[in-house]
Amino acid sequence: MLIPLPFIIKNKSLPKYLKPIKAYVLIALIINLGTTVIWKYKEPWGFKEGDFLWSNNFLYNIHSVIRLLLFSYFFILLEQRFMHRVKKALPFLFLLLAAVNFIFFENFFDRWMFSNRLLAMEAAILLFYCLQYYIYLTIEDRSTALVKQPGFWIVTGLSFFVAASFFIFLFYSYLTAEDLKFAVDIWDVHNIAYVLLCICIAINFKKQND
Amino acid sequence: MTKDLTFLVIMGIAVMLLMIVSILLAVIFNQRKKSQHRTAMEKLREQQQNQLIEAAVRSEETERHRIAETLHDEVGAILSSAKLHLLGIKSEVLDEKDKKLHEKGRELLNEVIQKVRGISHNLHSNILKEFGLNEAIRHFVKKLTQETIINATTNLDDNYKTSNADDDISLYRIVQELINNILKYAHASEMLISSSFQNQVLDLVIFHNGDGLTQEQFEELRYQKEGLGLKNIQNRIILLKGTILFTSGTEGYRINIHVPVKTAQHE
Repeated sequence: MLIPLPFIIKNKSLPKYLKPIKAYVLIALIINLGTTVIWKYKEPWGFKEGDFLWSNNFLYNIHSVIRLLLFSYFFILLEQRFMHRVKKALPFLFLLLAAVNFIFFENFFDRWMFSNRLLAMEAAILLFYCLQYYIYLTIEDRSTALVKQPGFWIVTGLSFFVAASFFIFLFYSYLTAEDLKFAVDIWDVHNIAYVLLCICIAINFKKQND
Repeated sequence: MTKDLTFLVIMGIAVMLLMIVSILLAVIFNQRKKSQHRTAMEKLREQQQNQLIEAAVRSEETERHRIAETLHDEVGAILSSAKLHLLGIKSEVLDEKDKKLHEKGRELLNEVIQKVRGISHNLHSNILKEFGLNEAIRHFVKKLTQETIINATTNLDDNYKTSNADDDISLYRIVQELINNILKYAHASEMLISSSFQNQVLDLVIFHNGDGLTQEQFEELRYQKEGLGLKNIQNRIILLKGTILFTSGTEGYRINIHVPVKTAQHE
């Protein structure tokens, strides 16, 4: 998240649709920092198994909810007259399903595992948003250059991130149980896709500055 | 079971990434196609617009010729005949009062004949066709100097030779319209019409010391109903694929006409 940060700070007058992304970058930076600090310092700071800050998994869950809500808002603010009601309804559906999941099936503050159902559902919904964005570009009458379309770089980065992460999120709990080494290795694919998303966000903000 | 799961995850990631790349390529291809289509449509629209302007300009020119010929051949002939008849009256037999009336009638008739001839020559582009653009402009400016108090001079580049008669007519009409506007509205006492011809580009400059137009005023006026002359100028400029620029300085106003010269299409 440090990659797009300079471009975001530099840009004072942002179009409305980029404001949720700015908020996301700042919040994600804090969450990722928290995740790393807990992972790195839980033992030096003397946290034991059973302590609340012994696990950073709940931060992944929080990150997932915030990411979906802010990116949904970003897609809604793009004002593409296409599936507008569905786009507005999806965040509420996501929150409803997440609530049902955590009330009846999973624990939001699980010490051992983040909610792979939550993250997979989030990836699927974001993938839907990305696909409808591309469909809209195909059917709309205007023929503005792709790279000049509002939010194009962000959506492209997000598409690669969710496409690469969907199956990882979906099967991660099974993978950690069956083959921990592979699970750790495949998480690198998620990390690379996330770096790609950050680069794309930075490009979008840089183009906006220009 | 583990192998199946890892295979499923790897294949899943690969398929998803492939799907995104394919969609992205499809969108890029579609966008390029749309862009090509739009460019083609714009070109076609521009072509149609130019054809319409050309038709309007040509029909205007034809109409000018028709009116000029009618004035010269019919009205001119009748006026000449009237003059002959008037001259046929023996003034010696007339009394003093009738003599004066006869004299006045003759003067007025001569004036009308001159006027009709002048209008006919203005509308017709005979000089232009026979002697070229430079000579036509010189002739037009010389005539103006005789009729008005403005001191108009020309400094035209004789390296320019007519290569397309229709384009020369358009250029001549532009100059005519601009000079007429200067005479009507600018209250100028000095005017200089100069030209230079280099690298197949003709640059015509009309300079005067009156109250001229700025580029903004020209852009604004050419869309108004009263600004018909300016609209005609703009249409002819579009037809010639040239540019017109109005500038002002401390010494006066300058109109720059920049026209690429095409090679002859039909003589």
